[in-house]
Amino acid sequence: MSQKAKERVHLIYGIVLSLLIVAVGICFALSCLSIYQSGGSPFTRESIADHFDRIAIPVYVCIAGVIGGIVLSLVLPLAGGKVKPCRDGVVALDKLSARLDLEACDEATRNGIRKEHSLRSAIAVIAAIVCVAVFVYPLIWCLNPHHFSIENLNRDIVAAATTVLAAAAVAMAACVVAVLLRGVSVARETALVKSALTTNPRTTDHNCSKIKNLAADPRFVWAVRGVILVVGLAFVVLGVLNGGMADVLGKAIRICTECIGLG
Amino acid sequence: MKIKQWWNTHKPSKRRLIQLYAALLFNANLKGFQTGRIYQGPLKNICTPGLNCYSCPGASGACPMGALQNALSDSGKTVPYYVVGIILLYGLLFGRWICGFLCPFGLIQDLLHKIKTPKVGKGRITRVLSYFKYVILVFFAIIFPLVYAGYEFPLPGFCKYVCPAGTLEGAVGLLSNPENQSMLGMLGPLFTWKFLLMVIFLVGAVFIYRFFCRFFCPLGAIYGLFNKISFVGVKLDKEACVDCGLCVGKCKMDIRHVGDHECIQCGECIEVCPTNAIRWKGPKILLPPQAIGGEIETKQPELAVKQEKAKKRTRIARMVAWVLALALLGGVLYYYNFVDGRDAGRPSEDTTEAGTPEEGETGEPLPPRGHEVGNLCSSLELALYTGGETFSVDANRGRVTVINFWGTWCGPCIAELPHFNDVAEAYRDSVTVVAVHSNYKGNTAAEWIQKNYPETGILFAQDPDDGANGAYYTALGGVGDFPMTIIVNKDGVITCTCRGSITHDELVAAVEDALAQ
Repeated sequence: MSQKAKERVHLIYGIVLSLLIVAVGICFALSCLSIYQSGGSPFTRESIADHFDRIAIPVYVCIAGVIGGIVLSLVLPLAGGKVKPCRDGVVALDKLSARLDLEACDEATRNGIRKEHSLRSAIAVIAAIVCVAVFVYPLIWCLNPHHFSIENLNRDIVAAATTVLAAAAVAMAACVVAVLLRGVSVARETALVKSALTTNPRTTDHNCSKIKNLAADPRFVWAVRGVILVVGLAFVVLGVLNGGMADVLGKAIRICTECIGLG
Repeated sequence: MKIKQWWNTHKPSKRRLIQLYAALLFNANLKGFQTGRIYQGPLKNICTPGLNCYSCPGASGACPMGALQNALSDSGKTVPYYVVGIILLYGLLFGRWICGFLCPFGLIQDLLHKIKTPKVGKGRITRVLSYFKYVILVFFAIIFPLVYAGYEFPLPGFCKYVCPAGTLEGAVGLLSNPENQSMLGMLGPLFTWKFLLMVIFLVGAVFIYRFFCRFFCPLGAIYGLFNKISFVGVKLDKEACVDCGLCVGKCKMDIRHVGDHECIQCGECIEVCPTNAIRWKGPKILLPPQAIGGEIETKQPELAVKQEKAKKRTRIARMVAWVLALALLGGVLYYYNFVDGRDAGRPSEDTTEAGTPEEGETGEPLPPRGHEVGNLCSSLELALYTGGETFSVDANRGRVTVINFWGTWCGPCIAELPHFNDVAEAYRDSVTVVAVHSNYKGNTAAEWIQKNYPETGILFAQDPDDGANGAYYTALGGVGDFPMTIIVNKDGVITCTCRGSITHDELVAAVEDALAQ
């Protein structure tokens, strides 16, 4: 069988198995919901066994499908795919720009490159402001003690989580837009830099920023390691002395019922 | 031949073997799966590096995220030096190499991802979404416990509302054992929510590589901050790198370059690098022989003898390392399963206590002593926190007794105390409510009670220390799950045992039932 035919078989198998797995996941979720909604103290051995008996067949079919995948890869092995290179546009652009003598370029190219720089800086600043703003709002909301109580714990946490998730969604959306716009700007600047490089390569070394130089300096890295090592060891010793270790033990030897969803 | 070919392509890699080893090491209490009980020995004051719920029957250590949240919840009284120190040291030593090699939940996701379905790839958008785990870390794992620390109410926000490892390893691990049927009554809306989340994470892991790790795991978020400075992991030789992009292309995580905060240090990029620019950090013992050979060959091609010796040294060192690792695993398994028998000592099947049958006031024989419904309640003299008095169930005959086992370290316990206070006030003429505090943190309980319940109808008593959950709690059938409520009628016979939280209406109904007997 040709490689293409094998790939087609594998693809069809993969799609069918995907649908099965999603269906089984939905069955498990619906079974749990159905047990919960049956009222009273719904979770008993009998009710769980009864509900999961009903979805036994799709589960077994799914397991058979997974095993079938192993047999399929034995009978119709696919040749290993090539790894596709994936370069970060910004990193690649930085490397190209390091080779370019900007001052020697013509005015139009120089202005174009600077405009893209400014555009990306503006995008980054706006995205950062949006992220900070939407981070600060839920932080202030959470630090307001009136929003939390013990009597309505779950309700208060749901309200807090909704606030946080809404803010996170806005921040993520802003970042996605920023990333997409940055990608467009990087593509434009890369084209400009590539065309300029044919005539204006840099003849002197280009120094990276001081911060990047410092981060790459092994002495700095070892200094940071040393500080963290000393602080970490000191904290562990202090924790043993102030009873923190005993607290960890005390909690760990008891079943955390809320952690595992009981109660 | 085909089978051999298939095996060569699909045999477990060294990384997979290390992951399996770590999963077994951190869940070495195998007898816990058989008995349905968690390990309660002293080794649980050591945090395992990866996400491994300490309520899992097999767990041999504490979970760092759970320990961190509990420590933050208690930060008003005890500064969380120990847990923060442990996490700093793990991060410094390993960084996200823990995610790639040591985390049991990471292993589960890796295995699920091997199921042959179409996969969702990575891109710029998934990289943005990968920052969501910092939101989970800051709000659920840090801010919520700190906010409720102000109320002296322990709330592990991430563990309680998000963590799928607790549901899979803890809940499913415990509940699947027939000995834990009584825990099924504790399942409700919280379990339903967590079960749904767990199904989403597990199904997601089939299609999206490390679905939970990439977008939700707060522990990975912490360890990622240490990737650049950790002692173990991958590093990029920038001078040898030709920026071909094959490493980023091969990687299934949302990295921008090798070793950044998204990199789980799995090392899969090493084999695709055409210039051997990617290496393991640390001593050359970790390098494959051909890499050592390549290095010497490039610099001093005539020194073939030195190359051979280096290869031989590496082979011997690796063999020694594997032997020591297996010896450690064997020793740990032996210790947990045969030497240290400290699980939450299951009460015997025979719930009755030996002794001569007792008689009631009118001479009728009373049921045997025990801890099940229908037994005469075991009695123990308990010291009260106030007034220097004592309490015992036997001395309280003639009144209904409500015994609630609780702890200041237990959020659900604190949340339901008001119900017991209401019952104590409403039925003061006929019911005695005694809240028995587990010996752990006994000293701070007195302050907590004085501050929160200065004037109350509840009698607060201290459970004698038995090195685990408390002597009276264990005698009355407790197996490590708090809170637990036992209702005893006027004759001293147990009429109701409730494991887990009890609502106000359920408590009143049970008390009314006991009063009617």
